[in-house]
Amino acid sequence: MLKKIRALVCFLVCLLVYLLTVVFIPLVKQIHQNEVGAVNPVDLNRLMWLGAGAGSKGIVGGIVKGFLPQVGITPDIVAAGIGFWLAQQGGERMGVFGEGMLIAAIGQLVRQPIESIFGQIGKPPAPTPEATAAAAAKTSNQGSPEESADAYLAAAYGIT
Amino acid sequence: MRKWIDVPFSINQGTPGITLGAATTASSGDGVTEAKLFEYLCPTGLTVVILPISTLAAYLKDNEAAPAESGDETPVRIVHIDSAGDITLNRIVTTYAGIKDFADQNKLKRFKDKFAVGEKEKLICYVIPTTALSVNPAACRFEIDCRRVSKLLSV
Repeated sequence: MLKKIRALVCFLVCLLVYLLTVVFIPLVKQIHQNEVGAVNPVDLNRLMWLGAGAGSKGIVGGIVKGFLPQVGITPDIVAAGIGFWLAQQGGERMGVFGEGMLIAAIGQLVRQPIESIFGQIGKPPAPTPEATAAAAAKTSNQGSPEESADAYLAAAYGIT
Repeated sequence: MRKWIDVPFSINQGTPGITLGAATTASSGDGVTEAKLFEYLCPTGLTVVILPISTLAAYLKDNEAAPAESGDETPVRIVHIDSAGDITLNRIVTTYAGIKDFADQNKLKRFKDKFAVGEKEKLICYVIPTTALSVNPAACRFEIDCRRVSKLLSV
């Protein structure tokens, strides 16, 4: 388990480095050049293939996962792998397509842990077993111990 | 939010809802036929709770010309009848010897089960007078120590 986590972390770090060096920095450079030159602020062709790749992430991951369910890896990992491989091939279309798929897959992968971290903020504390039991009794057909004699007898004496 | 009054309760010959049985004729006992000692009808809004710590005690007296205490071997049973009068459950089946002590905690007869006597349900105590003897409920004494649960008045 620890080895898997370590491998996953290495993989994510590699992806981050790749995205920084291959995607982000050239993009910034291009934007900078565009600002200087004011020629083409948005590369619509590249943007379209990025979107297509991101949109195809679920399809590709689902197909692979469906064909090979016994592998036991999530569709996001599959899509990230395929996207990474496509991006490595280069090209103005399929390379960008792979980048889009990779970005979408990584985004999906990091969503859950980020949610688990930030989702705790502002949440009420977990209910105690007594509160859970009281809530269950309140939602049952019998009514709450405060309102129903039968529920009171069940709660106080275990008489049902 | 409704609260419940849950307090100790005593069912005895003076408790509201108690109806004493009719005295049997002197020397009429055959050792088989049951005679009603008392009948308790649980009123509306009240639930009697019988727990395994609840006790039953009685003093039985016959209806002969010279009244005397019933014999130890006199069978006694308490039945629980539902509000429709359809279902009857034996709650205690014993003899007088087992319930004649009112004070000694080590000898008091206790119920085996826990149950609730709800609205309009009945507890009836029957005794079987010994052959050639009788029973006079008006001269008898009895007590069931239990609890009662009722609604709290809202103001």
